[in-house]
Amino acid sequence: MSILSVKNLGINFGGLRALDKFHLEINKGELIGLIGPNGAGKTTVFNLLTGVYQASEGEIILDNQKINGLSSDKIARIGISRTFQNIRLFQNLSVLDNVKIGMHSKYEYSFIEGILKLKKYKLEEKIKEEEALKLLKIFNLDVFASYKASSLSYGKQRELEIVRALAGKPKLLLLDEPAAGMNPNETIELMNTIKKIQESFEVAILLIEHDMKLVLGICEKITVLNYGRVLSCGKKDDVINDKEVIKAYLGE
Amino acid sequence: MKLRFNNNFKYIIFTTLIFLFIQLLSSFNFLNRYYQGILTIMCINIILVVSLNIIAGFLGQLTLGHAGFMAIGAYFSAYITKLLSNTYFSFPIALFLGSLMAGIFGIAVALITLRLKGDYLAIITLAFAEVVRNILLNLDVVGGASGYVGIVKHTNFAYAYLIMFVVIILTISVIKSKSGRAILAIKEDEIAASASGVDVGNYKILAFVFSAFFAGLAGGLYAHYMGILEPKAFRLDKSVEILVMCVLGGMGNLKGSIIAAIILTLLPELLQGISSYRTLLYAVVLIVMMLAKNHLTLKGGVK
Repeated sequence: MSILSVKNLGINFGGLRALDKFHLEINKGELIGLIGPNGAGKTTVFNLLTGVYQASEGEIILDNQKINGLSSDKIARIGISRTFQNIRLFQNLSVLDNVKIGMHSKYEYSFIEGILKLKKYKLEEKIKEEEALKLLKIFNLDVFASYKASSLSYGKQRELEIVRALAGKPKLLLLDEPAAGMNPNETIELMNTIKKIQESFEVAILLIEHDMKLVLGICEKITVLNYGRVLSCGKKDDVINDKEVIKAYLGE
Repeated sequence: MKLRFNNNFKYIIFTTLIFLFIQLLSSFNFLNRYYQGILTIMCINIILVVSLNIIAGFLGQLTLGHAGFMAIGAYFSAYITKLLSNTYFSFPIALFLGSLMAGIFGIAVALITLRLKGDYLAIITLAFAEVVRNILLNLDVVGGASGYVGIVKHTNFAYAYLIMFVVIILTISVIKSKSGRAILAIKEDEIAASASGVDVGNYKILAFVFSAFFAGLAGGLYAHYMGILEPKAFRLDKSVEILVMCVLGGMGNLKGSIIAAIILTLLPELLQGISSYRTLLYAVVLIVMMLAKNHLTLKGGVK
């Protein structure tokens, strides 16, 4: 069953055609890699999917619901969470609060109930706090729960960003270069983490990555972008043997 | 969870004791009207600094128009008390309506400035306060330039203290709820906040409304304490004065800004003996406090 279906997506930045006729199908629980040279438009795809940019044309359908034109926060509530290429944590808040903000839309008490600290507020805060801690524990971050996010190491910050994205219980998780700046050992650890997420959270994952070892290691399908166009897409083995892809990456 | 409850409880007992102590002192005539007046102004200043902290400290936006919201609350509530003349409930009703009016203007300002931040927001809010002041200056219904006179002096220390207490409690409650977390998240990173499902625009408006409402409340108390209102009391100096208290106590630090409000209310009074050097010394003390601030234990979030 298709969870995300993107057809004929395009956007112009002034005179620049940043993305043209982009298409993508993601099925439930699938892990797909999005690769391409620098400036190919990978992050633009993410920004379009999450409503940071509005597409010039085309449509994005998440779980039978058209989501183009919606604002970022609405899309997040419908079910797409993301991480960022350059880490965007709430640096001065605690690790726990970062996760709680990721759960923001899952809190059901009203504003008034929150101010007056009624029973529902207390109960829900308690349940959600336990939930957040449980989530942190999966990534062994629970010991840092009360630490400031900025005090974590780089690798842990990357992980926390993923935890925050998962906290919103997304249907689709977008990871923007999660292995950037990591050493080989950390990358292997990250590969296992991503696998684990895919299995235990039943979430589809779209992954931008430059590290081919990671992409080939975990993705079943790959889409290759070049100059804003889809160069090739499909099963991993077909894509890496595609002549066009080899030409774009290695030259003739 | 248990610890938090205890903290709240301690806080309530602590504030009640202070209140009883001051009441006791004044009932035995240890505190004359002058001192009671200073204490009342202190409470009003604390309300103002807490209210500004919601926008400047928690939401992380710089505004220079707080005197504008205060002026709206002051004039409107004074107008209402005159309208209702002296019925028993006229003062609370007037206070509420005045704050509500300030809150409505808070929505208006927030809507206009939704996409602005930093210097631009500061300029717009500064302009807003000046517009309000100039309108009041030319509004004959409320006395215009010669001042709005004959407001019944309803405000006393007990009133101001009680309202201050409620304002602080409400602010802490908001910050500790999901709404507060959302506001803090916006301060940290707007893009990440909206990617986490936080409706940035709504929460910005919410922060402005709350802040403006409390500022209007402080204005209402001020009007009924002074008995006379002049537009020149709500110049840029006033906005800056509140901002100075806020910065001195630490942006986003309620405890610190309350202490700063207390010190900066007392300071001009203490310096009265050397009146000709007063403004000079005020500036020096401010600079010294800024420098010394980092060594004091004023740091550490909302507690």
